[in-house]
Amino acid sequence: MKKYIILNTALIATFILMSFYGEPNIMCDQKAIKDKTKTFLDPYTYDSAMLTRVMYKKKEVVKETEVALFVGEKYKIAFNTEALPKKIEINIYNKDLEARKRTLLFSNKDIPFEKKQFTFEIERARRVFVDYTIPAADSSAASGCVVFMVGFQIKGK
Amino acid sequence: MIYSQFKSILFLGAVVLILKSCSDEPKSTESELLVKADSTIEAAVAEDLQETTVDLPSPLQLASIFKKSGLKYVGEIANSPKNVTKYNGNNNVRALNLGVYSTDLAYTLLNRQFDESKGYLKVCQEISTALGLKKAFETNGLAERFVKNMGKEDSLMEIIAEIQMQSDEILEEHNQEHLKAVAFAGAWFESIYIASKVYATDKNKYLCVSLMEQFSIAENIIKALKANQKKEPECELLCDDINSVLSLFKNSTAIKIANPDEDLDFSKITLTDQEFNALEKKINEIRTNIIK
Repeated sequence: MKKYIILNTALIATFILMSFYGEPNIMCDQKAIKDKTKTFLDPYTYDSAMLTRVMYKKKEVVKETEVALFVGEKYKIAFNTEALPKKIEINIYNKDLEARKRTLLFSNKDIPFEKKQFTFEIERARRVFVDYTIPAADSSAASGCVVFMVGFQIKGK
Repeated sequence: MIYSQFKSILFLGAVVLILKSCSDEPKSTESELLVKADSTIEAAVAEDLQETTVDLPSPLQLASIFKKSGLKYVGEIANSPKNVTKYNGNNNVRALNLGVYSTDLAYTLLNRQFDESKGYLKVCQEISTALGLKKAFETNGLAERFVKNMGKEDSLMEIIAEIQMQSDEILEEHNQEHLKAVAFAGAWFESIYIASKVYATDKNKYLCVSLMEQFSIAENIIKALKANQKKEPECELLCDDINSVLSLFKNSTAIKIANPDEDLDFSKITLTDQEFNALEKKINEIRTNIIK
């Protein structure tokens, strides 16, 4: 009996110590996240997806993805932020971040953090730039990931 | 006995803590991981506070665009499934020809050539298996569902899109995104090859517009390939091939006089027969080299 008490105490102490050491990172199960995101593409057909790892740094970080599109096609871009520990800014522009003048096409600014999936539809564009602005944070802050998925219309359905 | 177990537990805890502290430490290691995970390209500015990546479309979308513009089905244009035995050299050759066959699969499917589609699915599965993507066809019984749904065009295209999604996931999970870029380059060459061959005979203007649209993503393919050049040195040769087609297109009279700062409306642009023939010849030459 005494053996078990000592063992259990040691185990509990070890795990308590570990849990205090740093915040656990949010699990980024890319398959589960992408499968869920795909349900928001309907009635569009899967075209591509981009999973971006988000690690908070002492300074703000901007990650930009250029999405190649075709004029004359209609697209839906679905985002899934459920694996993010805190809100990041998501903006879609018509030009890249080094362009002198660019137009904001979409922003998650007014979407509450509790709403984890949202979509944006676009047509008559040859490319868009999806920008993630990751706010500065303490390096011990939990990391996570964010996914966007592009859907297109087969046969103009 | 108890003492040794107690020591083991403490030792385990210490190892976990050391490993965890290592993962939180140097910023450079953290940023390297980010670079690997997201196929980051060179544009990092101001101490990696900005990163840029490229997202490419699927071969199914390319085929769908050409179909909408009136691309007719011409048998014998696509690469014969019998050639699959030639593509066992290395993963670059496999990925490139997986792309070629993915386009052929979509081309036959969108033109309701279901018997041919079955053959292309089989060779896509064969090359995918050699690339470690076997699971993409097995998930949810996708390969079996393809056969069962034969004749139902919409269902078949959804299955192809699902296989594409599974393949993308596996490549990303195993840090093999460079193969995705190479496969897409193969798909792109096959689609512009088919479109240019068909246009050469029927002179369908809408098809020519779609063909010119394809050149607008050439630079994105180059960016994606260059981001992966370290993993796949042959990406450089592929970039040269894409550039050689792109420079012919950019040197055509209508493109040269257009404003480079504006997105071009290709429906208002006409290539001369001479310009088109030069493009067709170059595309044919590169495609022949890919499938040989």
